[in-house]
Amino acid sequence: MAAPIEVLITSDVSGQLWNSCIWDLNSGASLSCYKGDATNHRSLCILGGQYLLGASCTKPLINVWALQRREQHQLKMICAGKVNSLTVTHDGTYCVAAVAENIHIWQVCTGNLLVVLTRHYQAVNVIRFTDNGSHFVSGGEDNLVMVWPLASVLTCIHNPSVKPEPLRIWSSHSLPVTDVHVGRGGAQSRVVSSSLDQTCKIWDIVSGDLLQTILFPGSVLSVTMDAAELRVFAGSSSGHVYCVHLYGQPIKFERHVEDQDPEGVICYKGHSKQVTCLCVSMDGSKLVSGSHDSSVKIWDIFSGQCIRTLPHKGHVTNTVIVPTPQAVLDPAVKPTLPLQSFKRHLVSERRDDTGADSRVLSLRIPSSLGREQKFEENLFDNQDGSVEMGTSEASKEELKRLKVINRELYTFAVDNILNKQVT
Amino acid sequence: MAAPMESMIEKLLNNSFQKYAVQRSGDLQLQSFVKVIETNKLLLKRDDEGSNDIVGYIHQCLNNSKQRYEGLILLGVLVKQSSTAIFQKNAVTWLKLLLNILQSHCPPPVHQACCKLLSQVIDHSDSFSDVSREVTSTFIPQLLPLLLTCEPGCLSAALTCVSMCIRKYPGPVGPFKAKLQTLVEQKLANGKNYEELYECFALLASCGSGGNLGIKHTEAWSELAEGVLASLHETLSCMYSDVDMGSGSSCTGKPLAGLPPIDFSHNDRVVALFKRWCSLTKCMQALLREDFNAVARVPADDILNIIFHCLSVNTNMLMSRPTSERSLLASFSQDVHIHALYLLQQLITLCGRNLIPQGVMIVSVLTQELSWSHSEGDGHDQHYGCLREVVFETLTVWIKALDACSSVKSGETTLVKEIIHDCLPYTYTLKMTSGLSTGSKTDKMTSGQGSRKGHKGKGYHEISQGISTQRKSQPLANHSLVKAALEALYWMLTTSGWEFSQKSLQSVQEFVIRSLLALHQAPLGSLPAPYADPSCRRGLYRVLSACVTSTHANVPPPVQVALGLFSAGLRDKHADVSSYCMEAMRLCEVLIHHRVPCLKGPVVCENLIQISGQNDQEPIVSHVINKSGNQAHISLETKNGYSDASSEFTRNEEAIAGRTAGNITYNGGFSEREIRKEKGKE
Repeated sequence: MAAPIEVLITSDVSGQLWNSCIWDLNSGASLSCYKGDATNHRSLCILGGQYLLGASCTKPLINVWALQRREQHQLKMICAGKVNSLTVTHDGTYCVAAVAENIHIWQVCTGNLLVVLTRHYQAVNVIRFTDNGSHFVSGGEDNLVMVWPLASVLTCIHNPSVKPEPLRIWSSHSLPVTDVHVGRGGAQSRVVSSSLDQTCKIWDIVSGDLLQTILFPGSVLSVTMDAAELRVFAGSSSGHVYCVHLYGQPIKFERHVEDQDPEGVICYKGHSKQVTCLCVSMDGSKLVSGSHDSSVKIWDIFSGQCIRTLPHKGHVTNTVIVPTPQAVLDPAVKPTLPLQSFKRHLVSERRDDTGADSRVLSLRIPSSLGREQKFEENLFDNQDGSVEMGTSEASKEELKRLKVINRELYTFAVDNILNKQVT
Repeated sequence: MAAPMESMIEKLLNNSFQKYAVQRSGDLQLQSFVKVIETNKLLLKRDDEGSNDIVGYIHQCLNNSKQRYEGLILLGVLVKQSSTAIFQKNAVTWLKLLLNILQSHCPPPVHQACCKLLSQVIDHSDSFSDVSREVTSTFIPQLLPLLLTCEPGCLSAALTCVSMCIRKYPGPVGPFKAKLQTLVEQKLANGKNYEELYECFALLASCGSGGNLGIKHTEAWSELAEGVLASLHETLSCMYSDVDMGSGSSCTGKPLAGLPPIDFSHNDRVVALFKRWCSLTKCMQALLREDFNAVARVPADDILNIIFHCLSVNTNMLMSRPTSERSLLASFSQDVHIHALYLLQQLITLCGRNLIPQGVMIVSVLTQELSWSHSEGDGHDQHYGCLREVVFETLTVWIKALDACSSVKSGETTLVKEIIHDCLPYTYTLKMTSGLSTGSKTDKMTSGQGSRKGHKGKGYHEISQGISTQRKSQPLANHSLVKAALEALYWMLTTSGWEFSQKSLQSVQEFVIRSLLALHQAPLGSLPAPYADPSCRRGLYRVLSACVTSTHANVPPPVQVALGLFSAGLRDKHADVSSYCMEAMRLCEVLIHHRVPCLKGPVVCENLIQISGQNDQEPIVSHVINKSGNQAHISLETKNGYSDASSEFTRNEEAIAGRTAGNITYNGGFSEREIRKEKGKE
């Protein structure tokens, strides 16, 4: 059987069977699972394709599993408080966690807590990175959505007098923000936020403009888009998942979606309770939804049919689709990413008491940086010289010729000088 | 198909081998024989008798002291092409034969080739368990003492071989580590300067057993890194002792033991310090580059401090109060900086986004470098051209590694200014001024736009190209600098163009459009320097496409002009340039034929109009002149041979962007204003 291109990772609140499980998206087969504790909403992520990170539901912990070590118990990182949401940059350099109304940022290779952002004034519900890891978006109970540029936030750590400020603060939601999805395009991407005020709003990071508001019949608890950003999917409190075609109709600034009005909208009905997590496969053909009715459903986006139901033991907290990590396929692969345990206190500028510099980076030097290919080219750069050496006949002849010339020169010079002196 | 091919190749091989080896009549010389084998891949995938003959012949050659070199060359070809079976069967024999050659007395070229060949065989050997066992147990202990004591002539080849041994068999090399380190440091101290030495130095950390999770290797690496850092620090403080920078950076590590202190009484102390600095930075680069099987603990902050310290002293500073030593140091300053920047590049490549917290510092250091090395172009290579080129390269490496986190926004104004300064196409201008009171003012008006108002109508200045033809011209002056600068600009726009200030982005757009127009208008065969170089032209088009694709909240992309410029670029003589224009045309085509309707229309730019309204004096003048058909005059008037027509282009662009946005009231206002302005002027 060929390896699956993408896998689905899910977790539920009970943690009875496992904490989180990796599924083959096509066959619905369970590939591997990771045990111990249970993972909170929107806090399951893969670090550098090698580790699975999940924040605990009940304790101030982040659990870490090396992906290839199935079933084995995990590493625990202790945080300042219960983590509401967790995310990492795509290259696994930084990890961002929401603890109550604060946002903590760790550098993975040193474990240093670089900065704690306090700008939201109520709990932060969700944090998402842009696809290039340059910005992250946070949404909170205080109805605000903020965009933070990682660069300027991290630069502030050298200058404590400057308080890091978000690039954008969007305050159009009238009730707490429940979910945020960041589209493609790095800093130029678009953000969809969902809220209990029954709306999804589409924002543009570059200009900070609100592009469109979509109004649903109920509170929206989860939102996502397909990669090409043609459709918005919204999971509602009633258990319905709405698929809104963004371009199917004349574009309006504000759009109302109703249950009985199917134009440009597909409603996926199947869940009996609120839908709390959504994700779309890479090719934009499958939608995965997780709900409080303890099931994960895989839908065909075009037909609206439910293809498969994966039963769980409690409220589903995370559904994540990722390209299959190498470690899932091959248990022999060892994690190479140096992961240090996250520190609880902010990093100081000075060296600590033990004399060790806490800011020394632990890194792998990838072999691609070396240049082994060089040998192939210049193995025998002096090949021509060698040939002359091999055929000593030629050099002997040359030597003979030179000797003759030398002798001639000598006799010529001597003769001339002597002759002159005589005359 | 396969069978006839096989038999044909076998025949070829037998025939040529017969011609070469058996007859020795001179039908086929060694060189041609090797060439025949290499081009036809005659030994590839052969594991039968046909190649057995050759293998036998090679062994015979290697055993015979007169034919050794010949044997080595043939073996080189064979190792490259041999099948698994042949390699497995003969590898140990080859290693022994090669070892014999190393032990015997031979001229340096033979030893050199032997070392290179050894490293190749060792490279392949670790795939075969029996061969690798042999190598580990008996071969390496015999080989390394030979390599370490080989003659200076073939040291580089020997070090290549040592490096390969460390890469493939780090354990068995362990006992020789101390000796090797002494040798390498000794050579470094003597100012030997080749890559193999640095590579070998970096690999020292991987020698011996690694312990649990390679902890010993990690410690060895840290020790080496600290040693180099301390030595770098020492060298730098020696070099800058005169300048007295005060703080610098403190360093706790122990300098490399093998490096003797620089002799202070010596005359060429500065030169020695400079050489030491070069080789130490290269050692550090090698440490940061060579693959390492354990976790490396990279003291990034300390390395950055050293680099910043090094860059903090520049030629201008040294020459402000010159002494003989300072002047000498100043003349090396550019190279010292370049080596520091190479080190910075390597550090960025390795650490990538982990350097985000230091981003603003790095960008500001790079901008400082550009500021102090700023010099006016005169159509020849710039004074600090090499340094600036490396700065731009470093900037490119930085942006590529960090994408939108690169903090270039912090130095954006200076960077854009310097890049545009370096990349302006150069045209000779000669100004003749007649005027009584404006004499002093004319000096100032080389490129400034504002100063032109003052004496309009008072005097006249004539710009002529005709008179200035008698010049030593350098059509490719600064071309590598310009290429690097344009590349940096491209990446700046691509990753962070959206957060540029409106003014910077407009100046970039204006620069690109003007330059390309100037290129299109230039007579064939005499493109302004350095745009005779196709890679520079391509770079310019790349920047234009970055302008088109980058989205900005206030500045509209110049799609209209870009389409025109790219289609003109299709006629470029050089295929690289024209093919790039084809690519870019596709891109623009996608932009103008949207695949889906747009949630957000093109930028509406009210405040743009405000800005051009404030200093509307100047553009209007150029408009009027343009309309009178005197465009050529304008193009000569500005220093770098631009046409002000492009500003009209950008303005049209804005107008059109407004129109497509469907903002009728705004657009109407704009055209009305325009008309009013023009009327008023007339």
